[in-house]
Amino acid sequence: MIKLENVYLSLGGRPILKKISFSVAKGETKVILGPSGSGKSSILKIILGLWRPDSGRVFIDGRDMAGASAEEWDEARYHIGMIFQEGALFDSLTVGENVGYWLFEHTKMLEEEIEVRVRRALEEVGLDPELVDLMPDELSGGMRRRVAIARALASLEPKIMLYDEPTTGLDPLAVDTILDQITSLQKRMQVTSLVVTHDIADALKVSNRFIMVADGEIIFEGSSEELREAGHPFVSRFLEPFKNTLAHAFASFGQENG
Amino acid sequence: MAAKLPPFSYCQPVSQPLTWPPMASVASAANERLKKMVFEAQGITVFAGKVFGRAFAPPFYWRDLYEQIHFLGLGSVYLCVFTGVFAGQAMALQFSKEMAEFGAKDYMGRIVTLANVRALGPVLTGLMVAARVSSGIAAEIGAMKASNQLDALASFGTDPIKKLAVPRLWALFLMMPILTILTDTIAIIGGWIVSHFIVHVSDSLFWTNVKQRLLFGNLLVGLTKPFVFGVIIAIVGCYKGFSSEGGTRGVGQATREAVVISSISILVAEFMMTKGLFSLLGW
Repeated sequence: MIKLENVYLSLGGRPILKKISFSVAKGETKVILGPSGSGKSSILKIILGLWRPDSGRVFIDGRDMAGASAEEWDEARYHIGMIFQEGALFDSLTVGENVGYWLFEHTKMLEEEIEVRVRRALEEVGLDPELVDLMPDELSGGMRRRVAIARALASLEPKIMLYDEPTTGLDPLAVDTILDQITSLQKRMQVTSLVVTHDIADALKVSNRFIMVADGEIIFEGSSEELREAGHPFVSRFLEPFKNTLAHAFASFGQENG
Repeated sequence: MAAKLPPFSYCQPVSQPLTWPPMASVASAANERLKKMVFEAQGITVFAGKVFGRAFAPPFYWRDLYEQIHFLGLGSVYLCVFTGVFAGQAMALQFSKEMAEFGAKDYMGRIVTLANVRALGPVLTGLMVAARVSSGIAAEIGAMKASNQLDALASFGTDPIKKLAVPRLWALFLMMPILTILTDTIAIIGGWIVSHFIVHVSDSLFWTNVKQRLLFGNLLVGLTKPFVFGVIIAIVGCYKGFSSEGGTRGVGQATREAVVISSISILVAEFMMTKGLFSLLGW
């Protein structure tokens, strides 16, 4: 469903991504792990077509997007939903206008029809539909992330969902809610998901397939068991702070997935 | 880690004598500043091309245009009224003494009209609106960039430049001439107040002189400039917002620079347009 081949990216002369190659199968959820500034979010922006790589190829649903026009990218993005860091809600619009944004802008649907879809989307992510008239700054961080997910669901028919640090800055209860939403969405709609995070414990709750990025390069790709046994010094150093929680997290993941 | 002092600092420790910076570092700083100005001019020109290229093609965001006309245009009316009243009165007061010495105070209406309609009105309106609006545009778009809202717009198939910059361009292009006419009118009335109550020029003489100076040539000079000034304010404000970097600090810097660049550009455009229009009119 998603495939990157030898992607290189530099910004202002500074290399950001070097020889990035990986694929995500249809319906699969993969997690991109790595420290801050390692290029994880840049990978998502390339998949979404917001940034063009200096070289390399990007395949979305089997289609090479290297020379795609703006219209072709708009067509591809119709099936890609992205949850940005902190939600990236439009702060001059209400919750309802945010969730129905794409429908207002790109369709001729009546306001009443859009309102029905907006309310349904909010219910799907466990939010009260009566929130439609609130402004984004009146919501908690967790609620803003869920509204962002509802916005992607209401607007598009996502086959691919990209999550950029969806739990950063949230309290543990809100983190669990967001991670539940991600796994529920994946099970219900069989979307292909790519989750970027630097928290291995959160990562283990959504997937068993990992890519680790450091300094713009992929240094590991594999399962959680392979991650735990990986001998790469950076991987060991990255997992060290999570040592105490990891044993429990790995065991829990093992139990949940047989 | 102790902060590194710049080459010349008013905060130099007492133990160290004040020294002038070496000429090489002054020249180097000037060179860097000049390079930055050239890159900035290049960036603004390229950005302006992108905005103009999108300004005449659908989709047209009518609701956004209406909102921007309201916020940027109608929201600046009070500013233009205050500017016109006090600028008109101040100018009339400044000229009245000199004109009285030459026995020419009866020409107050002419001078007030010429000065305001041709130059003072458009420039003061441009500068005041630039200060209010250019900074606001840069701050709003810069904040959107810092919070990934621009990327979110693009991910939903909306061109951020078309959605944010084009409505602001059209709003200022349409509203600046109207605001300038308002400023000119209020300034002439301010000049009349000084003429009537301080200089004691007869009202009929004042207003006759005003009507005589509202000629096609003067109106062409005075009302062509606001269209250009509106474009400058919109393009510079939007460019600084879209190009801001570095989070909230970057947004603050972009806001300041938007005002400075808009204001200087308006003054440069004022001179060049006056010269060009005078040549066109054969003056």
